[in-house]
Amino acid sequence: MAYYFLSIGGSGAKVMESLLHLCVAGMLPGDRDEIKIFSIDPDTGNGNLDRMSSVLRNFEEIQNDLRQGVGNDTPLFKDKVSIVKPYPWNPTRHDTTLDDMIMYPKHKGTPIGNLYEVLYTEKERNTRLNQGFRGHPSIGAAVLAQNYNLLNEESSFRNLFANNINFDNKAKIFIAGSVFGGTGAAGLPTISRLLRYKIAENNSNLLIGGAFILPYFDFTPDNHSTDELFARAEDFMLNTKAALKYYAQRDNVFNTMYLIGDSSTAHIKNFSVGARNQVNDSHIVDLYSALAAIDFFQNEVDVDTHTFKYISCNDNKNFNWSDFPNTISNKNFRSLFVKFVRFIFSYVHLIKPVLNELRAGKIPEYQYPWFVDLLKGTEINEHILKNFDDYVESFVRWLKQIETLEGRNVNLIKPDMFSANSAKINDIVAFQSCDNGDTTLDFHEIWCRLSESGRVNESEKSFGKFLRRLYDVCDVSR
Amino acid sequence: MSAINYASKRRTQAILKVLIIFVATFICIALAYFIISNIFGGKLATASNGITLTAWKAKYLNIVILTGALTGLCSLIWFILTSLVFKVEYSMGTGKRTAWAALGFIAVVISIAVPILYSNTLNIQVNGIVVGAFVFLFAMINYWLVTIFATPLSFKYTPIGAQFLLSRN
Repeated sequence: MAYYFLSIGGSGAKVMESLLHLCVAGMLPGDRDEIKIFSIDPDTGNGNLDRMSSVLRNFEEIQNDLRQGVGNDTPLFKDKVSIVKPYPWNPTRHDTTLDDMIMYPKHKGTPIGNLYEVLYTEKERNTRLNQGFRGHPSIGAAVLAQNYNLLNEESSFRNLFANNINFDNKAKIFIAGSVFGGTGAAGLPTISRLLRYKIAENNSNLLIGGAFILPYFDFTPDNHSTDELFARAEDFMLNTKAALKYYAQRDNVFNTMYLIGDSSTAHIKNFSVGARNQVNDSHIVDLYSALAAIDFFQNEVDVDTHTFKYISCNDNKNFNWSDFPNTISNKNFRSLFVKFVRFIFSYVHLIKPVLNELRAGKIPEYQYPWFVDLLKGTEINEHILKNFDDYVESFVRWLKQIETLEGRNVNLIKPDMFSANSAKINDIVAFQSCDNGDTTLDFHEIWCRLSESGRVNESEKSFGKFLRRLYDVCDVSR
Repeated sequence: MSAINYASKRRTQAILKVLIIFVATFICIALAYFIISNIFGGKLATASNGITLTAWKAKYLNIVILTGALTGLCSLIWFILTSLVFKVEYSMGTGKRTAWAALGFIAVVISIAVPILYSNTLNIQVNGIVVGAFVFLFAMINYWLVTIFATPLSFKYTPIGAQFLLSRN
């Protein structure tokens, strides 16, 4: 079974970030899976996508070495993440407008040209699409459909999907995007229909799931942007209603739909039309959407069925572990996630501050038995170490943002325990029961276990093996 | 490995390490008594106001037991500190070699002071060779070597030379 994830727009990119972290923690079903990641975004400089892309690329470069080191019998790094290029795929050309994409000058004065003029305002037709579809899904739908209409073997759109999906015996593709914005709202119905009816050579082999992200944030545009075309928060609910009505009335190509939103909207302080400045913090909705993807991948799905799934929380003011699915990939989600969190923070607190100095011989190695037993004499590639450190920082930053929800409490991992943007533990006592659970594990115990784990032959030492040992000692099972 | 397995393994190791301390103390006491008394006992008894060898040996045994017990206690204190008192909760300040060295210094002082001072109290003679043998047996073997093998694994390379002896690197 092959797994694919397609992110559409900025909201899709945020879901992809959450899914990456769940994959690194080994939450895909199966023993050793691969997930191929696509991205569609005309706003290639989008801050969310930019942030996600650098994390993804950094990790993709080092995962082979790490996966080899940790072995086949652990969830850690078991799921391989592959980026399908071009990443992201930009359906527009640089500095083009809708008029350019549709080749309006050719059709001006014709019935098609006249119809086009009626359907789109002048502003919609002349706005440059470098920063996305500006919250206008009608623009996006036309652009995406136009891309497919090339209908030749050189079509990058066709190549992007067909070469991958039709190669596999059975493929599950999960698409994530918002229904209230521009790119996601345009891409979700358009891309899914193209996949189902135009690209898949054997429809019975293709299962499509989708996370339809409903409004969960709002913003106040600044005064400079009154003449530009941009998304407006007051249109989100109307857009959502129209989108859901469309899906209810039209032939549904999705085998499973996950509708995910938040009745309390987070206020975005720094408005941006698009590009680099459009960076929204990770939100609990992103995590739910990523879990939806895993739920879709792990469950048996009949190609002829159409399922709608929803999840609700017990208390609108508090998110607790009971508000999340119990099992992921036939394992307890909470124990898998918390073990990964402990692993990351153990690395941040006990290992990372001294590792480079130990390797350089600047501090006495007798003080660190784990270094002598598991790492001394090993050549650790600087690139791997730096990329792993960058990944760790990105995970902690993501977790902090997930845990920080305005006006509400997210009680998964104690947020006061740590700080991000230079990951750091603030409260070592809080770390002991970091998930507010009954089982405790402190740094001293982790240190003892790591020191007790025994020596490794020099020929077998690797950074990946060391990380595996560190991960194993973070187990609290009885 | 589960939490219970870790605890069980650590408990077994702790029992073994305490046993090592006691057995090593006993062996060092036995060696100090039998070797020194058999080689130098006669001469030292004569020098001790002509007391009999048997009487000298009986008093000498007290010196040996006291020195052995005190240096064994140093090893035991090091074991207790590293298994129950010292906690590693941060990445810096983890080795505690200063504490180990301080206890080692105390063991050396005991190995020198007890035979000299206690022999005066008991009115028997000991010589420089006896003191040297005490330093070797009680400070080097009963403290230094014993702590190499009896230190909990979280501080296993703290005793000087432990990394050379215990690690394959």
